[in-house]
Amino acid sequence: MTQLWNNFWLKEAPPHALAIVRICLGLFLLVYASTYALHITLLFSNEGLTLPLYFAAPSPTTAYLMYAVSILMLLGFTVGAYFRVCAVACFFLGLYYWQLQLHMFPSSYNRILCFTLLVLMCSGANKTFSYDTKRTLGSWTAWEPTSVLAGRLICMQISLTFIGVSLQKWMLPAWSTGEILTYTFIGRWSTLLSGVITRLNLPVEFYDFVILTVKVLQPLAGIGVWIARFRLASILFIHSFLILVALLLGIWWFIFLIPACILFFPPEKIYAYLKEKHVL
Amino acid sequence: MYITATMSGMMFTLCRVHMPGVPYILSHWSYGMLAPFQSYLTYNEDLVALGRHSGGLWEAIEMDKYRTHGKGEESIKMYLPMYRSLPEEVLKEKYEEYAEKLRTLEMNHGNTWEEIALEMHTWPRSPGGYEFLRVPVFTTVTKL
Repeated sequence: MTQLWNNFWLKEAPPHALAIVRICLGLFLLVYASTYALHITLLFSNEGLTLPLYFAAPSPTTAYLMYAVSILMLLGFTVGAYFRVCAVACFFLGLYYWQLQLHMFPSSYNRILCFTLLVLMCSGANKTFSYDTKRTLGSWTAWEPTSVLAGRLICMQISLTFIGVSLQKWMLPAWSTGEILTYTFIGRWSTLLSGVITRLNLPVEFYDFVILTVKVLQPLAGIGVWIARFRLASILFIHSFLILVALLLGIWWFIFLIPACILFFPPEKIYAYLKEKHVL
Repeated sequence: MYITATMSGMMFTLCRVHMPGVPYILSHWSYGMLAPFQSYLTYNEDLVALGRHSGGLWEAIEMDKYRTHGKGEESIKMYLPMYRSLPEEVLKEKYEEYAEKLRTLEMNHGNTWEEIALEMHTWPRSPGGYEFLRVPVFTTVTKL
């Protein structure tokens, strides 16, 4: 039993899936950070509209400097250059921006992003497809095995988020009918597509059905990702769900979980697949 | 640590009980990752800032230039969510601090106000559009 437990959490495996997640997450964070680029003084300096939790906002010059450092660290994280330094810096800069401005928008995805950064910070996500491997092993595609722990923790969190969010839907009065969807589609999170659907004037039974389907499929997907037979179907559901959330509610930040789902596949299989496709 | 924090977060998600011995910040952070989107509103709200001219006349301040992101994100920010769980006086102080910062920013834009007052405007949602029912007869004004 102990051996199974240790094997599940700690075995050494090819790092390719983790490296792909590192690159995708880094690119996502660069895009995310770029949405703040034109508003640094307003959002991150003492001459803007900040209400920091702990540390006072800096001058605009310092705010610009910190933003530039953040971008540099994110680039280092993405290409795996001096990865450990960059990942630690990204995590702490993330916390800094949280206390300064992001706490005004305390979303689940910002929390999951911070958690993912913390996990990757201690991982071997730079052990292939990185500047670090080029520097130390002579090739971008050279690799060394790494512990699966980081990947397992990220998978566990994705799975539990889907299970937790669906179980609470069965218990919360707000989720008992499709009314939540109808009001959300005409509220502050409405998008062009949700507006079109609203104007179709579909019966309330349609919205009830959608909510029921989500409530049934979400926990099944959260469990199904761990079972080889149902893995692909569960991941396809998770992907479709996150894409629909982005299109219908404009909540696009969860899409960083889409590439992270690659971690549910055995790392050896990802390695074999990449070899077969001549990527390696 | 991760497993304990997650169990506590899940317990809070499902039963609203924190597991004893688990630091609140870890438990609450985990809960935040497990339980997005719990409820909905049947109305819309907007933070409105009014500036007082030296002559005493109040005028609505154009806030769009301070809203940098989408409507959803901005509409959460205006509640100052992290200060909501604190005593009412703290939240009031924070809104006053917000108004003061706004006054300085406005001054930098060439608009001098003697005073700035914040109000929350509330109106029902409508398939006709976000602002469709934002008319005096349907709009409730709450001074902050």
